[in-house]
Amino acid sequence: MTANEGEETIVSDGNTNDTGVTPAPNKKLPAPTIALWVVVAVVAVGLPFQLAPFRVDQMSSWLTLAIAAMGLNLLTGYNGQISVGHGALYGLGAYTAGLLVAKANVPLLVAVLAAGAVCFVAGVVIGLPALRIKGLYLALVTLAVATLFPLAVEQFSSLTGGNQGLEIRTEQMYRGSMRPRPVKFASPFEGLANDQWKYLVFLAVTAVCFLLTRNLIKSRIGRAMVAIRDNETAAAVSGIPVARTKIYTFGVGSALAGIAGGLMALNLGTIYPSSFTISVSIYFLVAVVIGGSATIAGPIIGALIYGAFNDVLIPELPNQLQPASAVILGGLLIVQVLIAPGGVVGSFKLAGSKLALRKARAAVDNSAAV
Amino acid sequence: MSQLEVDNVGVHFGGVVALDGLSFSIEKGQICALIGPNGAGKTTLFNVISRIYDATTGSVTFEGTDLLKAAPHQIAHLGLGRTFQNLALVPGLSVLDNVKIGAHSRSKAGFWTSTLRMPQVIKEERQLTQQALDILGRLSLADLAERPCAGLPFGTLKRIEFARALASDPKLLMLDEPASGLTHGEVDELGELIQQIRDEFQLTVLLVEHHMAMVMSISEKVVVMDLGRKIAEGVPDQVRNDPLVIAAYLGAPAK
Repeated sequence: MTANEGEETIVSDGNTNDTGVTPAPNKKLPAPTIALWVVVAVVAVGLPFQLAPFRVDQMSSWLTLAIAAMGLNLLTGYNGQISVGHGALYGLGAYTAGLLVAKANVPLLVAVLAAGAVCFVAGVVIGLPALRIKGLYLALVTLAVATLFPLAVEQFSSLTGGNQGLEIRTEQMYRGSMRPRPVKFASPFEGLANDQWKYLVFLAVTAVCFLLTRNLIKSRIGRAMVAIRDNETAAAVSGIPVARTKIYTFGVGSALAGIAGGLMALNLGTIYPSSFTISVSIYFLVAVVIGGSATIAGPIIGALIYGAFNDVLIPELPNQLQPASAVILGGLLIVQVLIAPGGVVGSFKLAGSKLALRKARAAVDNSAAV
Repeated sequence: MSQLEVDNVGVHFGGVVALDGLSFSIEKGQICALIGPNGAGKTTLFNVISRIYDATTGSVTFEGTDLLKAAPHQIAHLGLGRTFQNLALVPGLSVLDNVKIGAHSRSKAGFWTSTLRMPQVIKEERQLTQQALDILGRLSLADLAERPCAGLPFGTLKRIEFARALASDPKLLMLDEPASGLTHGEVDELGELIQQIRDEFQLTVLLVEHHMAMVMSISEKVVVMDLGRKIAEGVPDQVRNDPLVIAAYLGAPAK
C-alpha cells in the first residue's frame, strides 16, 4: 500500500530545453503500483471467505478504526491541529447512527452518512474556538471534550440509555412475524454470510473515504492544509484563507470520525458511554503514529496493525502477560518512535529516497570515472 | 495616480515606534528600492502591506483599493506577491508544491470539488503544475522540482521563494533581501533577472536590499529610511550623495 504514495508524484526528468521550459510530466501509473493495488484489493475482498466469522467481525471494527484515523490524520497530520478528542466525535457519530436506526428506523447506510453530517457540523463548531488556541492548548481543550463525552451521554440517559447502553434494534422478519431484533447487515446474496456482507460494506465505505481523502490531500486544498501547518504566515501571504481552511478541515476530519463511529455502532449492536472514553482517542493517535502521520495510506496501515496487535497477538500471549498488554504496546510504541518516527509509510519513503540518492551518487561517480 | 501609495503610515508596538509617518509612492512598472540601516522599519512596512502587522496610523492604497481594510489572504488576490527576509517556505512540501502554493490565489478548486476530483480540478491542477515548472525553469530550479525544500542551501531557498511569489502572477512584487546568501556573481545575475522578469511579466518591484551595488544599478527609485522615517527619496544618484543618507549609514562626521 505504500508504493501508491508515489503514484501521482511527478518525476522531474531534468529535460530542460533551451527555452528553460520543462515539459509537462507523464502521469501514468507505474506497473508495480497497479500490481500492488490489485493484490491489496484481492486480499481485502478475499479474506472474509478464509477466516472465522469472529475474525471477520474484528476486521470490520479495524476498518472503522482506519476511517477515524484517516480523519484524525487529516486534521492533526496534515493540518497540524492537534486533537486528542477525536474519540468524542467517534462517539457522537455512533450515538447519532444508533439513535436514528433504533428510534427512527432509518436505513443503515443513511444513518451512517447522517452521523458523518452531524459530526461535520460538530467539528466546525469545535473548529471555531480552535482558531484561537493552538498546539498544546488545543490538545488540552480537545482532551476535555473527550473526557466530557461519556459523562454527557450518561446525562441524557432518557435518550441514550445511559450506562445501560443503547441497544440498536430494528424491525426484522423473525419466525414469521416482524419483531424488533438486534441490528444486522442482512446479506442480499445466497452463500454470503451476514458478517461477510457487513465486512464488504465496511470495506467499500473505507475505500470511498480513502479515495475522497486522498483526492483532497493531493489537491490545492491539501497543499493549503500543509502550508498552514508549517507556516501560517506564509500561507496567508500566498492567499490561503487560513481560518476557513482550518475550520473545514476540522469539519471533514470530524465527519470521517462520525462515519466511523456510525459503522462501529452498527457493528457492535449495543453501545455504552464507556465505549467512548479518552482511550479511544488515544487509539486513533496510535494508529496514525504507527502507520505514519501525514501520509495518505498511513492511518489505514496503522489501524490494521494496531487492530491485529490487539485482537490477534494479545490473546496469544500467556495468561500472566495479558493484563500487561497496554504496557507492551506502550513499550513497542516508544521503540517505534525512536527508530522509525515516520511510521511504516514514512520509513518506506525514507528508504526510497535514500536509495534514489545512492543511485544518483553512483551515477555521478560513474560519469566522473569515465 | 500611483500604483502603490503609502501615506503617513505609522506602526507603534507599545512605546516602540517602528514606523513614523512614512509616505511614498511607486509608479506602475518601476523598480523601487527601500534601503536603510537595520531597524529602519523596511520589513515592518512589508508586513503592514501584507497585513501581518496593523498600522497604527495612515493608509496604504494599491490601485485605488485600501489595503488596510483587506484580510491578510486577500492581499495576494489583489495582486501583491512577496518574499520573506528569513524565508517562509513549507518544508514539508516539495519545491514544486511550494511554488504551486504561490498560485493559490489565482486557482479556484474548492473543498468539495477537490474531494470529488472533478474534471475541472484535474485540468486546473495540470495547468498549475505546468506553470510552476515553467517558472522553476525560468529561475534554473527545474531539476529540484521534486526535492523537498528541507535541506537546500539558503540562496536556493531564496530563489524558490522568488518563484513562489511569481507564481501568484503579481502586479507588485515585494522582495525582502533577495540577494542575501548569494555570492557576488550570483548577485549580479539576480539583478539582471529582476529586471528581465519586470519587463517580461510587466510588474512593479518593491525591493528591500542591503546590497548597494545591485540596488543602485537596477532601481529607478530609491527610498531611504532610518528609524522608521523616510530620510531621502529619488533616483539612485540623488540618494547616493545625500548627506542625510551618508550620515545614517556611516554616522555623522565628527566636529
